[in-house]
Amino acid sequence: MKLSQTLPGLKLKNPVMPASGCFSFGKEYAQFYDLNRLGAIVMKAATKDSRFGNKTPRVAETSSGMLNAIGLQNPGVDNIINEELPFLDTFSTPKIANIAGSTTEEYEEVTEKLSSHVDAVELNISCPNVKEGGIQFGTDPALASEVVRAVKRKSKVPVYVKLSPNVSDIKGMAVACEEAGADGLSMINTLTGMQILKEKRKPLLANNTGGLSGPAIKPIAIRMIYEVYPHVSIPIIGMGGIETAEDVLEFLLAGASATAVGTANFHQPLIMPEIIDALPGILEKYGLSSVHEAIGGAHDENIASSLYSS
Amino acid sequence: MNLRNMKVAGNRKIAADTYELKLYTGPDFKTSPGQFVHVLVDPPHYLRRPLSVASISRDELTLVYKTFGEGTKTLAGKKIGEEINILGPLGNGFTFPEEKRVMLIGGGVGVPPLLELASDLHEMGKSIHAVLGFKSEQDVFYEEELKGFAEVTVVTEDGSYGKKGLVTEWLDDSADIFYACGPNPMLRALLTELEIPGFISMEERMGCAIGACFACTIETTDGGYVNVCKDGPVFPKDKVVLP
Repeated sequence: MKLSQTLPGLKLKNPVMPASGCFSFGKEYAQFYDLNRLGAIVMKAATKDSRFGNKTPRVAETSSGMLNAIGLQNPGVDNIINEELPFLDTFSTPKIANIAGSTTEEYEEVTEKLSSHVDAVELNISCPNVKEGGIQFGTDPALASEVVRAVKRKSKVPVYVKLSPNVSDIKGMAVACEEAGADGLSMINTLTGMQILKEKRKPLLANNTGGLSGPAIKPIAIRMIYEVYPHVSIPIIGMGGIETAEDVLEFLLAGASATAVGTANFHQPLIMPEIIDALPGILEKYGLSSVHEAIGGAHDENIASSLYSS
Repeated sequence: MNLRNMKVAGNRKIAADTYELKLYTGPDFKTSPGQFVHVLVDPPHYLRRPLSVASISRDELTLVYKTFGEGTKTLAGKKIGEEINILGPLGNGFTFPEEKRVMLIGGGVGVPPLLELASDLHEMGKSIHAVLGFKSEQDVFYEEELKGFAEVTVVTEDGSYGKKGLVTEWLDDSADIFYACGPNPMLRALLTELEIPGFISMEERMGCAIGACFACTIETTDGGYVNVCKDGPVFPKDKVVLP
């Protein structure tokens, strides 16, 4: 069973990687399994300077999911390069750096510093939890276009753009990013949500709102990927509530070329190696002979889109 | 890193909305006082629940939890012989003292980690005074268990059992060091009240509980930050800014 594939900048031995922000910089999960087993490693968002993030409570459980408002906490791009990357360099797994910022200049600066150390960058224009954290770029196609063009000029590696589901026209955003030069898309980031603490008659999270993730959002992710796939010719890394190899296959069929696992890591720390182990059997069960064969399989064969393949 | 299914050996109510869960650990499960485990609850509840270790014997782990919400209520329904997935032990526990006279201060569901600590301190020959605060008589638990190792003062807010008031009104002036676990307002009051050295055990909502998600991050007094799960949950009293 062929699980491997090549996407821009990434030689993936399988289509499973962590979602940014759920895996820090890898050390914690390396206590559970060899990170070389993963298709790729996606790092926590990097900003120019270190950020503390929001006050606690930062997380709340919801039915089949969770809300989080961490607030892009990270040690800053220089510390990431000096303190975190040396550990990840001990693995042969491709590395993707997630890049956040509050201005186009910050995105450019972080990209310039970080991109030469990794195999691809993921442009985070969709964090819902900070006032000036990029979501404005992720909800306006013209601004998205501008930041993608700027980052493409600075980046030494392919650029994937992580899209926000908090928009009315996801297809328009995806097309704008592709036209601006994006090499791939990641979708979806979390959906903005809120939980009220009844005893206090106030929002539970210190940030009031948070990003909803987990199995609760999977149908939305599947729908958005299915909607975008026929209109772009760049690969999609799909994410949103993945817990099993069956879920991975569903994302592939919707049009994703690879997948990322986020919240499920908290539920079950060994989830990614378990999914990778189960995937060949699941592909076989549904009559498929490779990951590549599954991509976009839920669409009509005669759609205009040229399937990304290499 | 330890991730395993443990069989329920007992699950009983010990006070209002408060349950004591005993689990067979299987071989080679070691923990020190103040550490916690991350407990998987039934769907649709998605996040694990961080619970402090109340005591550990050769192959039996005791946890205490309050059924504040629906997730912990599913735990209360667990019968003997059923399995529960446990991640841990996690975090850093209490540092043992040089000092002779030790005061343990627990507030409500903050009492459990002090039991295993008291047992170890008792074995070390320390003189121990435990001051335990609860809302009301129906909430009181572990008084008898702690009496095996310590002098115990129980304080209830409404005076329905033991002394009346808050733990801060019944502290032991003769102690050389303190160890406290309880709600943040209690910890805050203790830090103002007590000049002796001490350690506090923090509670915070957690995601991964291994330091990867930054859900339980709090500020330190020197302007940095720590994750309660990985750097704590026990901290020296001056280390962190209480949220």
